[in-house]
Amino acid sequence: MIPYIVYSCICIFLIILKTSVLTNIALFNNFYDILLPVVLYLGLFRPFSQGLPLIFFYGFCMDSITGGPFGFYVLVYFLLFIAMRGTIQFVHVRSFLLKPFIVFAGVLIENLIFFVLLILFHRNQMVSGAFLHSASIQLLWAAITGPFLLIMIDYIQSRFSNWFE
Amino acid sequence: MVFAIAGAFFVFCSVILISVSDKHPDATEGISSVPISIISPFQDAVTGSITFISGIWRHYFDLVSTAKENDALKKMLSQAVEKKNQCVEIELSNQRLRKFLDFQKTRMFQTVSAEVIGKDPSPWSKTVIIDKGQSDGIRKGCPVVVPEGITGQVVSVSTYYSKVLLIIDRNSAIDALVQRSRARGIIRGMSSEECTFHYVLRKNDIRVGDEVVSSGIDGVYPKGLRIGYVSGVIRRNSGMFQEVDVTPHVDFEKLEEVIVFITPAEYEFEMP
Repeated sequence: MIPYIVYSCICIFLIILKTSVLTNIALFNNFYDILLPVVLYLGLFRPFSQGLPLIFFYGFCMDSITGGPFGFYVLVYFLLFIAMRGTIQFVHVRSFLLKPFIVFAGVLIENLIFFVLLILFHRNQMVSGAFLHSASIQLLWAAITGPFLLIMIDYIQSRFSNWFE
Repeated sequence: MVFAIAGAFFVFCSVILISVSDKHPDATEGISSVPISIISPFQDAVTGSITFISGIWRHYFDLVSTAKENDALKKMLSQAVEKKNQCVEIELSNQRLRKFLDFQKTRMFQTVSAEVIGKDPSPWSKTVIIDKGQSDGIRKGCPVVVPEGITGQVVSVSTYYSKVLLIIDRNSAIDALVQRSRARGIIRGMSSEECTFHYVLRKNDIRVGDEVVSSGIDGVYPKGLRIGYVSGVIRRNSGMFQEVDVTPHVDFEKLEEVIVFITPAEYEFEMP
């Protein structure tokens, strides 16, 4: 039960950080989805039975807070979670060579899914330059900060494991 | 195998859900207000703390420019008082003329001021959370404005908090007209800092710098509220419509307080 509470608190903390703090700083205007590293971490390093309910909870919270169509984040997080479960069958994700690319790949996939859904449901709307600009800045941020966030989550996880196990 | 089938079924259901909620956002309003009710008090506390700290900075450490600013503001105040007197005169003459023409009295709106406590965490949608909800009389669909112009409309309400869809979101649409030439069209957001003015006929005269205001026809925004100014016009050789870009007057990056119009239940008519 403890891990669920800890990860739920992390979720609420990150949403508040993004919505009330980072959005007020111009530098972070196009920062990527801050819950994404946690979703990827759950997919890569936590048991399937523990990660799945949490990513549904994360998706539900994000879908409720954002103004986009309901279900988008649940779908994206589920697909990324499944993709990460598949990835660990073939590659050694703890490798220092791969860590910098995990969040980058996650942000890229998330943007691609959004792009596909935009084309599917809003055919009359052109994909504006603003979308491409936003996506490229998100990828840049993911490349710079992604590995550090993964290391931080790993550290928090190991501390809690030491305390409660 | 079972997991693969369950996963595929889930993806299928999610796409259906996205499609339905995209067309009918009301369908998921009930369940989506629950997380807002849980998260918004924390957002309120964090935003309040940030405002408090930045307020201390502004009020106690930034006194150097205050005297100069005070002088400038006094000058502006005297100009504003003069302007207000003129406006009162115009209002009185307007009332007389309306009475004379037996016009229907314009809608009287009650307003509620609210503070923005959170912005959208998604980079693709543009909404904000405000610290007023059903208990303050806010209902879904209420227009939200700031002194500079239209900000958006309430799309989701919980007891003490509401979600506002900004006019720059790609799901937003406002029936609008150009103040000078009265050309009509629909203002749509692009999820960037600009909007586009759709369905403006090619024959209509629109120039860069023209003021765009709400037409009042959509039944959401009162007539005559400022939206933005025309920042670009492309009139192609073929096609019925012209492509018009509109830059909103509101700076959505610096949105802190807003005014919510609580729509009255009925019109008030003046007796002849």
